[in-house]
Amino acid sequence: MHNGGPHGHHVDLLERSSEEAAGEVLGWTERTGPAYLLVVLVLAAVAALGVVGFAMKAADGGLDSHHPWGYLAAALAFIMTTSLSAPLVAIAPRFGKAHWNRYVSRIAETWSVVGLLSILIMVPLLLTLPSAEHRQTLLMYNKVAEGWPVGAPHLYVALVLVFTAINGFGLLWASAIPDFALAKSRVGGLRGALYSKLALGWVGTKRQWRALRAGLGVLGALYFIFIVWSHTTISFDFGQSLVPGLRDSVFPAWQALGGIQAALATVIVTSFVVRMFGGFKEYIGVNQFWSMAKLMLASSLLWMYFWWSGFIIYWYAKTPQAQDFLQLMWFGPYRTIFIITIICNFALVLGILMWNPVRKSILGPTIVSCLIIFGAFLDKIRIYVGFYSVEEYTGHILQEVPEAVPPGLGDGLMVAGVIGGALLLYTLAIKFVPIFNLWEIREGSMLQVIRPFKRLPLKILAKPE
Amino acid sequence: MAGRSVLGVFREVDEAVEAADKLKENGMDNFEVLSGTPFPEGAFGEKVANHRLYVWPLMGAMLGFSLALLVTAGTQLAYPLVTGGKPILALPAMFIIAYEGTMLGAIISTIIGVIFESRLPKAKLDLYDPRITEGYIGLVVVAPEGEAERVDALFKAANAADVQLEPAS
Repeated sequence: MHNGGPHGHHVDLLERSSEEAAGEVLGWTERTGPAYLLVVLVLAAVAALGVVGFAMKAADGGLDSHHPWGYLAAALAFIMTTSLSAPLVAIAPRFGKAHWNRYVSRIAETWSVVGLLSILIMVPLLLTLPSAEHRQTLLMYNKVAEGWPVGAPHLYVALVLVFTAINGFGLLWASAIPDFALAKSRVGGLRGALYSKLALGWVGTKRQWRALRAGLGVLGALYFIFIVWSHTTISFDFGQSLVPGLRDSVFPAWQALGGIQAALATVIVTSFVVRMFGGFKEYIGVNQFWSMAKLMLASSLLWMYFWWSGFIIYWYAKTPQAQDFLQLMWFGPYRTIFIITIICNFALVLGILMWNPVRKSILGPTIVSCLIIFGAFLDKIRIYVGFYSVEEYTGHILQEVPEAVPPGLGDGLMVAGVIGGALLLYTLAIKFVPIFNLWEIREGSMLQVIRPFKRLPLKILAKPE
Repeated sequence: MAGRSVLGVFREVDEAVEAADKLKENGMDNFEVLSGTPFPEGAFGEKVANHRLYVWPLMGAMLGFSLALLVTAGTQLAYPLVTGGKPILALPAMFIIAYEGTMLGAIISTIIGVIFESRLPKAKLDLYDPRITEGYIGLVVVAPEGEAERVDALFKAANAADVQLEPAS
């Protein structure tokens, strides 16, 4: 990585030939040392504890009611807002023909493997989700015709998550085809055979590159549309439709925006781990963290604005019902959690990232990202556990603001298991799919060069149309 | 057109560009560039390859939308129970299912489109050199009858690292 320049001026460029980069990255992908195996074992054990927690809850409360499953719904929403949203960090800069994202795009896209886990978690949640009858779901059940649409909302919620997972896998596979083709010639055995199958005989003709570029663009756009829709559906059907009388059109949009904020945080933290513990300091530099930190600061300001827009409606309304909602969502039993969320997802983000030297560093954005992920976790607990605890979900008004529901042992194990399971899937995936998008990096090396301008080294970027 | 395929493998991009120029000077402008990196369109003076990938998501979306419309309208018309004075075919209630159907069609057809437009999978590789995935550039041209040896010489003159000729039939 070339660095230099006076007065904090910063330019960097990976100083590796394509052969060296391929050797390093593919070698790392194939290598599984004792430390890696230990991490896998620990994560597998935590994920197994999640299954134990689920069994405990199922044996205790059964699958007859949705009330005991608030923490599982919160865990699903949490992995959706972090892991499943992370590919957006690869998609959006690609649309803008940015160069900085080339070193983190695969790190972001690989998170789409967690789609498998979201489908698994969804099954018990759908089994316990009450019928759409007398609930305000998005699907207008019984509003047009008796019992129509058939299967609402369960079938359509399931389809949303399944489609998101298919889209995510499609995106990851398509972006990795050229790297699979490269890897198959370097790796033998079963792994080589798998790479060969997945590469489908890719040789890199102009037609193939054009189709790949266009395909990544379309799949990326569809993923963007669909993940926003997933947030909307989940926050509606597993969230506010369980609270009678709650009709908040800003809430789903706020949840989707939280997904964009947490996606950036997730990719920053993952990039930090890959850089520090994967030995890729030359690949991921300040430029990547700086670029993502700027977007994260902007999304955090928007996050706060969207929350405020939703909140002010109830606050101004001041009807007894609106006051009950204020209590349930923000100022009642979950007030402490709410205050910590605002501090983690807005106040500290603004207070720390407003300083350019911090924003333009590696550690600053990483620390802020950890805060955002923690805040997002608490936010999901507050929302979903709170909403799931409402006793009477039918009717027109909220009759009573329920007490806070502290987590039991089963809840704790389940939530830990879901997070452990998501990390386990990712940890396994990065030892099969190369952690860097090698063809994008090679292309970037062709299109970027550092040239002196008087006394200043400048990075010249080419953006062919 | 009958002819033999010739593959020239070049270590340096400039060498490949020079060879491509010579092919064009000799009236063989229908060559294919193979690379492990997506070079900008026209970097080798090659003809820009067309694709119809954008048609795939469009067609898939239309198919998905039509199916969703069929399912929603079909089920409503099959059980025409008027509820609350609402019309039997109420568009707001059909919107979400139509949206999901449209998206499913678009996603699946795009994935299929990427495969089809890339002309994949290929069970058997034509002339190819694994070094191309490592950064070498390949130029493939179908030389007219009796011209293969001339192309071979032309590639070698441009400092090709290797030249492969399709076996004569």
